[in-house]
Amino acid sequence: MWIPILGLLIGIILGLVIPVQIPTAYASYMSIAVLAALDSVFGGIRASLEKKFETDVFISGFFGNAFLAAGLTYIGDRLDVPIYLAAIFAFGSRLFQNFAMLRRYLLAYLRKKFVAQDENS
Amino acid sequence: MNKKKDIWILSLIGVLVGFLLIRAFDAQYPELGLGSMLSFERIGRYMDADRIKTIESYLNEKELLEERKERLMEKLRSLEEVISIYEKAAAEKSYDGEEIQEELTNSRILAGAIDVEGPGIEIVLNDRKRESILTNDPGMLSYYIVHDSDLLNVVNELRAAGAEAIAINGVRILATSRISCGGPTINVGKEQRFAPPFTIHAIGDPDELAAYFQREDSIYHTLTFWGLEFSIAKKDRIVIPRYIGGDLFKYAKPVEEGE
Repeated sequence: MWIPILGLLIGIILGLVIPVQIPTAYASYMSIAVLAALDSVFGGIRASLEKKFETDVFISGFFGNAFLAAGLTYIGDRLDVPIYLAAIFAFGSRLFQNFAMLRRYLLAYLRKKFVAQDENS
Repeated sequence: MNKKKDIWILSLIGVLVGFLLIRAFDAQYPELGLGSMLSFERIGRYMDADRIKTIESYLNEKELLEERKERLMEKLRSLEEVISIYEKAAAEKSYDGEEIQEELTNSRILAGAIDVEGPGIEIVLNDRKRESILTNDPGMLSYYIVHDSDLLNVVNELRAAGAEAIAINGVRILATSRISCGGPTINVGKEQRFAPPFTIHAIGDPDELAAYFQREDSIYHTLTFWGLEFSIAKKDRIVIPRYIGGDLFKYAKPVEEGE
């Protein structure tokens, strides 16, 4: 469980160390892709708490969503229609939903644990 | 399902997410310097305690040099006193010595070789106050700061008004002095560079000098129109120090007779 979080920290450190510059013109696509990736990650955590986690679904969702979001943003830019709003809306709302579910699971878990402790003592 | 393999794949995904997150941040906010926060150079700089030492040693050196300058100035003044004693003695001996000495003094004032004092005016020039500037347009901002050309204009108008000796921030302006742009500063004289405010002293008839800036086309009106600080104060006594620097003339020599 802790190894992926360690991976995240390693990624952050790598990001700070490796000076790969993303051209400013592509920065917005990058941001949307990151949003999509974050959404996938939260979805993955939720799925694993629900014991429904499937690695292939997660990975395909992770990359697929990221590329789709970046691609839609690109097309929207070309067509002068802010399609990226759709991505932000979809992923953003799902992110919050996932987080809400996570919270409930976590609270339920904690409640169970402490109530059990109380009963024991 | 292979649990162990999944963990590693998830870790890789985590690495990717962390990396992309920081990169996206860096692309949007390059000024945060995230991209090079942990670069080897920067880490070296965090650890570099010698830097403080270097600054301290420079400060010490500066103090020593200033002391040395002070001592040399004292020596110069005492030597000049000796010269003036000799000059007086020589003037007493020869019958037209006094005339020669007067001429010498005039030349010295003209060349900026001695401190001079007399009535005059004091001008303070400064950039427009930051709080009163309402624009961020860099093109407009240049109207609100003192430029080398403004200083030159002021000096020129002072000369036109009959100023006999001029100094900017205590640096005597000679016939060979430059006033040029030094980026955020202005170069005055040989080596000095100043940032605003600039204090300009001029010896001459205070009323005449001050009145000259009231002309319609004076630089005074241009600069005050843009909100720059430009104050003129008449003074009964102004002391302008001598020119300090190396040889004035290296190439120019008087024409020899008979050529």
